[in-house]
Amino acid sequence: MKNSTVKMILALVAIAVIAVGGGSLYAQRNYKETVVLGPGVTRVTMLSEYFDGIKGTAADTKVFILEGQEPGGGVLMFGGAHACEPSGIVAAVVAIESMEVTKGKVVVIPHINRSASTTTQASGGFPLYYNIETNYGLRKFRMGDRNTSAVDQWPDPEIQFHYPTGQSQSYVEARNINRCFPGNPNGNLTEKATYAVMQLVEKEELDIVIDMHEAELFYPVTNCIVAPDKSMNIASFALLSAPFEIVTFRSPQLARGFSHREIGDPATGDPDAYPFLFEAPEPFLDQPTGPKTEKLLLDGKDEFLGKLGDLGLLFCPYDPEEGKSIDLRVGRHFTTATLIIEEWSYTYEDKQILFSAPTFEEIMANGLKEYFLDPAAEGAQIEEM
Amino acid sequence: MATVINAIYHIMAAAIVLLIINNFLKTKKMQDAAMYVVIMIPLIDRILRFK
Repeated sequence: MKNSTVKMILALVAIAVIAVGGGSLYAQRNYKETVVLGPGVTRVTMLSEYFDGIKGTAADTKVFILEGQEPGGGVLMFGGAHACEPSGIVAAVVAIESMEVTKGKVVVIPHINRSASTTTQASGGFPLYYNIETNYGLRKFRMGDRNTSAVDQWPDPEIQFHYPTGQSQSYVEARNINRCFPGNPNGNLTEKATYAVMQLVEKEELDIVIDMHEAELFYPVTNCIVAPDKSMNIASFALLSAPFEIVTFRSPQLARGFSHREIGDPATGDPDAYPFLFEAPEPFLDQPTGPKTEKLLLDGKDEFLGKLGDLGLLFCPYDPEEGKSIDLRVGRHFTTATLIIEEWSYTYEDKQILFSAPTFEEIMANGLKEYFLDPAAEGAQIEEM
Repeated sequence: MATVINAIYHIMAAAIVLLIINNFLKTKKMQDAAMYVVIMIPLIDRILRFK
């Protein structure tokens, strides 16, 4: 075979690899998820409305506001701080499509770090998307990464210095939104995004901030609420009514940058805000599992993790036959949020937030599919994010 | 500063890709040609901001 022919074949192979491999990543980065506005949504805006330093960047993200007729307290619920932890994102979408507020205000952001939702973990072998079954077909979501995409924020520093305390952190935390609170208007893109969130909390006069995550079962801080001392009474009383096992963890005072550490701190955040971070147990995130498939992400069934459970090495109960389904994880987040809001409203009658929403028992009995609206229905208002 | 470093990185990556394409076209050893192709792929992915 002539050299020129071999070179031609090599060049075609390279083009095919770039087109197939790179093309699928490009498609995922640009894929828009669908949200149907529920009857409770009164306004949709962008996070850049609160800080224009992120306008037009990959950090700008949709903000959904559900406001009651009567004035009252306010809550921010957000998912996607770590975009590889899907139940917070899906719980936020369920809130948008099913919650109705009669008093006070509920602000929902499904992708607090939108850039992180447009890339996957390098070398993680993660699926690019996951699909949730609904009564109206599959709803497709991007599977993201823990950190802001390096396409949007790069290079990383040798050492990340938390703003404003100056505490030194690992370099990779420069792109971790949950190490960058309370943010910096002149900082990197991730710090600007957290600054915008703090501006939102302040300008909308929100009382509660709920940050929804998932964690490995092999990791001690799982199946829990993490809260600073000021939020702990509300968290503890709320959990008395929880129809599932869940514990509380005290927010560490010395580790900086976490949402639960900074948002309500009078020195760095908003003294009037009460933060809470939820961790749902997610087998997909554990290292000792089988392949990282969409099925594992959705049903949470893994025999290797079951062996670890048998050896007593997991930090929450786990039955590999039952798994930890997305319905269960979303139901837990959604219900924990509603219990926190109810406890808040009981404690602070002058800042009540009253609403109707599906209960944990309803979500588990009917499945998540019941709580998504039909995007093809006549008059359906669609948002893409 | 990060924006400037990012821009310089992309310019450098593009320049290196051009040099590799030049070597790919000139070389008579097919093993080297295959190596040039392998080296080029991640650089092109980065220039196109795929990952």
